[in-house]
Amino acid sequence: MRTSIAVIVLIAGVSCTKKAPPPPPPPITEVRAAAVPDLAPLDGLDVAWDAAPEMAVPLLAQDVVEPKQAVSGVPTVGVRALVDGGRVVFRLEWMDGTEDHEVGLGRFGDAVAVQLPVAAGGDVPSAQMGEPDKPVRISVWKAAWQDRPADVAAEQASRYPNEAIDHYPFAAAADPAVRAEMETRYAPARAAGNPVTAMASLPGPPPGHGGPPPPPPGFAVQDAVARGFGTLTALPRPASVGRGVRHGDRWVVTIAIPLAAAAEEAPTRGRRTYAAFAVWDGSARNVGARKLRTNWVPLVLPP
Amino acid sequence: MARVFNHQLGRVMSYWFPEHRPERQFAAVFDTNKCIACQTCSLACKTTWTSGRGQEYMLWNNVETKPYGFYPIGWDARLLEALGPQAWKDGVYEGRTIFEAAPAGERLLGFAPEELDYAHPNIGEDESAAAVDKGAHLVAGHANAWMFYAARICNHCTFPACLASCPRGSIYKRREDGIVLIDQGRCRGYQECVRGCPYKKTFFNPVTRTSEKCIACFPKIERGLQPQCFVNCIGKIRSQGWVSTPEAAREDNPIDYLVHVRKVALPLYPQFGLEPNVYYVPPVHVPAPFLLQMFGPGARAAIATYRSAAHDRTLAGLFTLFGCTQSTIARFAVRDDTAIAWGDDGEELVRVPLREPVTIRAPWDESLAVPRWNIP
Ligand code: SF4
Ligand code: SF4
Repeated sequence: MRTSIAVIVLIAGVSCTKKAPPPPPPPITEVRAAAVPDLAPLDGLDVAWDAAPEMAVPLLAQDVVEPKQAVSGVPTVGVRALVDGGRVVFRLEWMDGTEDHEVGLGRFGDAVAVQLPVAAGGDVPSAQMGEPDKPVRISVWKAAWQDRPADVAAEQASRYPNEAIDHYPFAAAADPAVRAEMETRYAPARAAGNPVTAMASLPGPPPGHGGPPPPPPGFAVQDAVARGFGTLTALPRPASVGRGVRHGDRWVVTIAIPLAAAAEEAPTRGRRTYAAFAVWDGSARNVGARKLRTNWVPLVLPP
Repeated sequence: MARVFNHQLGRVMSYWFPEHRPERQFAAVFDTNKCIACQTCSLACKTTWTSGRGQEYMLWNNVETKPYGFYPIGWDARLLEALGPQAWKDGVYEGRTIFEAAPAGERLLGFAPEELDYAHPNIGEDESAAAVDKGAHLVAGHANAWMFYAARICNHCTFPACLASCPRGSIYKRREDGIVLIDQGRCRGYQECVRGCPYKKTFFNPVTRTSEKCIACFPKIERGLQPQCFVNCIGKIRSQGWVSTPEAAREDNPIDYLVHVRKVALPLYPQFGLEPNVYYVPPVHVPAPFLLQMFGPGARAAIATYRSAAHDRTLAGLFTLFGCTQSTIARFAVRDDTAIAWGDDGEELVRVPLREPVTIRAPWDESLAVPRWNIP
């Protein structure tokens, strides 16, 4: 009895090897967003993300304008997307063995960006920062914005325990409003309402000065538009949010972008559009134009 | 890259943008022979502009002892080494500028200093080039043991490397006065200018996360006043004014006179190719090869001219005007034994005798019954 079972199993095995192997799953060549009934999670490790197929998007050199960035050891960024009531949420995962969330002289932080065309439809501009009459919308997440110090003075004292400072002119002012105004005089970027300064470590600009307010703690995405190289301009009101977590030697970052209000704008539900991505590795001194980027990839949003 | 004419190199060179000179160009002359490294200039600047958080390490004006002083460490030596041979022939530079030596994929040849490189702004202070044999003094005419003080600010260059290296176009050169500024609303803190400026005169502020630099005290300049580091200079080594191109030089413009007419003031490391607009009277006691490297081929002749000032009323008179007015001198003249300075609108700013009246007093004061010293 045993022998006959063994024979049957053997025959079955032989017949199996003779069959053609099951075809590999077709390569994923577009980011197809899955719809979720409630809010899509901003936690990139949430199981809800299992519903969204991941496209491995090749990272390319930034080889168009100086300063250029040659390809590094990071071949791809894995992209998934979920759509909830009013947002498309991207989940971006890439390998980066060094966690860089500090910015300083000669120190740069890790970052990632999603780029979408402003106009709906298939006539996309250059994937490298758009074109003068075909703008792109870019949402940037930076580790340094997410992990910005709550107290600049304390952060400075811990980084430079032996620092000796004679005095800050504003420190003597007793009235907090006077002190804030004086301090702003020695922080021209803050006085000018610089959007990067607002995202960094300081409280928002004092009354009477422009510039966007800082995002809520732990959420660190800036929205901007670009019309070609060197034209990135932050929007006055950030609409997107996002957060990153470390997952082994990888970053997993989610960026939630509001769907467009008008049908002629991207992204809208039920329409196909395109998205492109960029990754910066702080340890490799990536910053600004020194980045790895992708081509446009199709982005399909469910109705 | 565009082709531009750099008169300090005597030739056309490559630059990131086409040549576009301002209506007039901020410029200065520093006489290195008179600097005493008191650092009053550094403090005048520091208290005026860089007393904020994130600016602690910044010295938009610094004074370093050459040859071993640097701020940041090795700023010039590192670039000189990377640049390769820097030969001159008949006043024309035959080597490569930092723009012409740009590695593939870069806008120029630069380097990024580390944080610690700024930690010792007085490194090498008062160290001479060689040991002085068994003695506590330097013999005049010494060959090996020498040092001098180099006071440095942003050169508000005609072809700024900081401006060329910013991929966002956040740095601009003002049409009205040639002052180079970083737009504090537009900078995103990429630190490309810190890497690109060969003189290391842009600084990253880690608190605002933008780069900052010397602004030539433009609110003062706009009112006809010289910057803080000029009017506070104890040694009276500095004069701020406007420099023309050589063919447009005016004899009665103090900067033109020193730079173009008498060629007694020279640019700092002209071979970098930026056409810097702070000009230096070279130190008279420093070996020629070092001066050639630091100030170009005119150094020897500049020193000879400088030494002749004792018998040259115009030159001596003009140097006498240094540090004698807080206003920018647009025009000067030396008449009889007096140097006279005028401002932009023709108003007389100051009148200084070439020789101060000398009174020699008796060594004993009868009325107070005390000894007296005569101080020259
Ligand atoms: S000295 Fe440096 S910072 Fe100043 S203008 Fe020249 S390149 Fe720019
Ligand atoms: S204040 Fe004048 S003399 Fe004193 S260190 Fe500065 S440049 Fe030299």
